[in-house]
Amino acid sequence: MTELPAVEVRGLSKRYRRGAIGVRSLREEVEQLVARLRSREAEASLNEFFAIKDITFSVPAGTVCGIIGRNGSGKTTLLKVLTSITAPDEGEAVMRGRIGSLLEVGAGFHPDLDGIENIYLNGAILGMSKAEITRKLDRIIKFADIGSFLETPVKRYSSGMYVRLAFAIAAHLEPEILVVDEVLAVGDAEFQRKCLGTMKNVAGEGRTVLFVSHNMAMVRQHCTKAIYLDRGLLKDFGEASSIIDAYLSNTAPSSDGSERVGDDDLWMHVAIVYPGTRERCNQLKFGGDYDFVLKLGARNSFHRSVVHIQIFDQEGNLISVLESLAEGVGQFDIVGQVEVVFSVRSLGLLPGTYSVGAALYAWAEDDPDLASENLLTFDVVAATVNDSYWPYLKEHGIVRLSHSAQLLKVD
Amino acid sequence: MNPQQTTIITPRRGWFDLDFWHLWRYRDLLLLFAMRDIKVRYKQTLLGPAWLILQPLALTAALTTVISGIAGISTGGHPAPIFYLTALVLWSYFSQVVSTASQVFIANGHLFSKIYFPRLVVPVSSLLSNGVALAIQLGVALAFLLWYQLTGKVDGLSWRLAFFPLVIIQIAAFSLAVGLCLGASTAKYRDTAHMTPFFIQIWLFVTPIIFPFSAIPEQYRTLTGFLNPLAVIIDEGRWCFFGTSAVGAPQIAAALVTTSVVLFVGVVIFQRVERTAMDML
Repeated sequence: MTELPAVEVRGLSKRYRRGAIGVRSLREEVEQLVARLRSREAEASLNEFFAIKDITFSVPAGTVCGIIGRNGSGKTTLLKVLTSITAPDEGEAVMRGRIGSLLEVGAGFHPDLDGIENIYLNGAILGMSKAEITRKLDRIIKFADIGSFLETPVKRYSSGMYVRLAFAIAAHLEPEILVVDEVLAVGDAEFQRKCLGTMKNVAGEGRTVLFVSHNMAMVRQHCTKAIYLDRGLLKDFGEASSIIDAYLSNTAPSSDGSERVGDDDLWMHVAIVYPGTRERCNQLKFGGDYDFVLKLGARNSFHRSVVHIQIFDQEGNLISVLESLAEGVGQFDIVGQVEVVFSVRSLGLLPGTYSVGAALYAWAEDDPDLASENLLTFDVVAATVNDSYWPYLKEHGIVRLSHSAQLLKVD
Repeated sequence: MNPQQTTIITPRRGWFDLDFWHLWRYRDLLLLFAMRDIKVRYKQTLLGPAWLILQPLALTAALTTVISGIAGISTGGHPAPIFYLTALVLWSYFSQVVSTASQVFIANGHLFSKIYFPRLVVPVSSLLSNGVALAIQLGVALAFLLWYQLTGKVDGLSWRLAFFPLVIIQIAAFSLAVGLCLGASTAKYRDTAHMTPFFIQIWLFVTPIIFPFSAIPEQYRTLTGFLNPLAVIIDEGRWCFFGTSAVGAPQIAAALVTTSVVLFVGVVIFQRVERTAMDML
C-alpha cells in the first residue's frame, strides 16, 4: 500500500469580516445584498480579510507537526477548519484517519454530571461509541487518577483533576490524527509530562499529531516538522528546528530599546538605561548594572497600581519577574506620569537574547489593565566576573546564581 | 488506516449533503445527550420530575375554570379536564422541542466552537429527552381517561389508543421540522431568538387546544391542515382518546405534506448553516 500523507491541505483559505464577526441582523443582510447588486466592487468594501490564505502543506503519517506563529496569524482558524468546526471558503483538506481534537480540555463536560457520566458523554462527543468507552473505562480512570471522585459532579473537581480527566478521555480516543491546541499549558508539571508522553506514543504508533503552541521549547523538543504562519499565510514549512529559528529571528520586535503599550488614557513604556542616566541600551553586559524603567501615565488617574516586568528567554520561557510589591513599592496611584525604576545590579542573565514584558494591575485584580509580553528585546553579551580570565557564555545556562568559588587546601 | 475515516474538507458541498451513515455513527452520542438532559433538568429541584405532572395539571385546571367555565367555549361535548389535558400534553412536547431546537447554536455555542460532531444530533436528542416528559404526562392523561371511563362519562380506553404512537411520530417530526428552521435562522439572525417565544405563544391560540377542531368551519379545515399541521395532529390525539374527530383523510394528508416539506427544508437549511455557524456566534 502506498503511504498517502495523513494530512493533505491544498490552497485552504478562510475569510472573515473585520469588526463585525458575529450575527448580522436582517437589515444588514439586506443592505449588503443591495450593495452587492449595485456593483462587484461592493465586495471589497465589506471589509473582509483572510484569516488564512492559500495554505498548502502535507504531513506524512507518524509526524508530530508544530504550528507556530504570532497571535492572530491564523493558527486557531487553521485548526478549526481542519477539525470541521467551520468550513473553509476555498481550497481542500484531506484528513486520512480518525481525527481526535483537543482544542479545549473538557469541552462538553457537564458540571452537574459525575466523573463516569462525563467520561461517556465527552467520549461520545469526541467520536467514541458507548461500547468503546466501556472497554477503555478502566484505563481512562487510571490515567486520570481521580480515584474516589468518580461519583462526584465535576463542578466540585479541582482544575487539575478536571484537566486530567479531560485529557485522559482524549488520549484514549486513539485517533490516527490528533489535533492539540496548547492544552498542555494547563495542569501540573507531572501531568504535562504524562500528556507529552502520550502524545509521543501516539506519534510512535504511526499516528499524526498537529500541535499548536507558543512555547518554542516545547515545539522544538517534540515536533519533527513545523508550519510557520504569518498573518494568515504559510510562511514556512519544514524541519521543526530550522522553522523555529526562522520564527524567532522574525518575531524580535523593534529594538530601539523602548516600547510603549496602551493609549492616551492609560499607557506604559519600558526602557533599559544605564543607572542614573536616560541613555538607553539594548546590548547589556553580563554582570553589568542597569535600570529597567517602567514609565506609566494616565489621562485621569489610575488607583492602587501594582506593576511588574517579565523577562523571557528566546523560546518564551519566563525567566524572572521584577515585581513592585515584592520589592517593597506598595500600591500607588498614577496621576499624570510616574516612573517605577527597577535597579538591576550585577546582571545575572547569561549571554543570549531576552524579551521584556510588563503588566499593570489594579490591586487585588486578577486581570491586568495593561499588559504586553513583547515590549522589547535585548541581548546579553559575554563578560567575566571576579577578574577571571574565563567569561561566562551562553553555554552556562540562563542565569548565574550569585556566588563565588574558592579553592581550599585539605590536609 | 481506515479508508472509511477519510475526511475531505471543502468549502461548500451540495445543497443537500446529509450523510446518514455519518449520523448513525453518532447514535450513542444522541442517547447520551438525551440522558444528560433528563438527568440535569430536575437536579437541584425540590419536586424533581413531579413538575412534569404539576405543569399540565395546573394549566388544565386553569383552562377548565376560565375557558370552559367562565368563557363557556365548547369542548365538543367531552369532559373539559381530559379534553384540555390531551391537547396540552402534545402541545407542551411541541413547544419544548421547538424552543430547545431554536436555541441550539446559542446554547451550545461554546461546545460547537471547540469540537466537531454532527450538530443535528442535538435537536434530535431533544426529541428523546422531551419524550420522557411526554410519556409521563401521557400516563397522567390516561389515568384521567380511566377515571372518566369508570364514571361512565367517556368511551375510554379502546383499541384507538394503539394509534397514539403514530400521533407521537407525527408530532415529533413536525416539532423537529419547525425547530430546525428556527434554529438555523437564529444562528444567522438573532431576530428569531426574540421572535420564537412570542411565535409559540401565538401558535397556542391558533391551534385547537382551547377549542375543538370542529369549531373550524368545514371549508377551511383542509387549509388548516396545510397551514397548521399541529391542529390536525392534536385532533388525531383527541380521537385516540374520545373516538370522535372532525379530522378526516384530506386534513391528515394535508398535514403530512406540510410536515414533510418543512422537515426537508429544515434539514437542508440546518446542515447548510451548521458548516459556518461558528463564525457567526
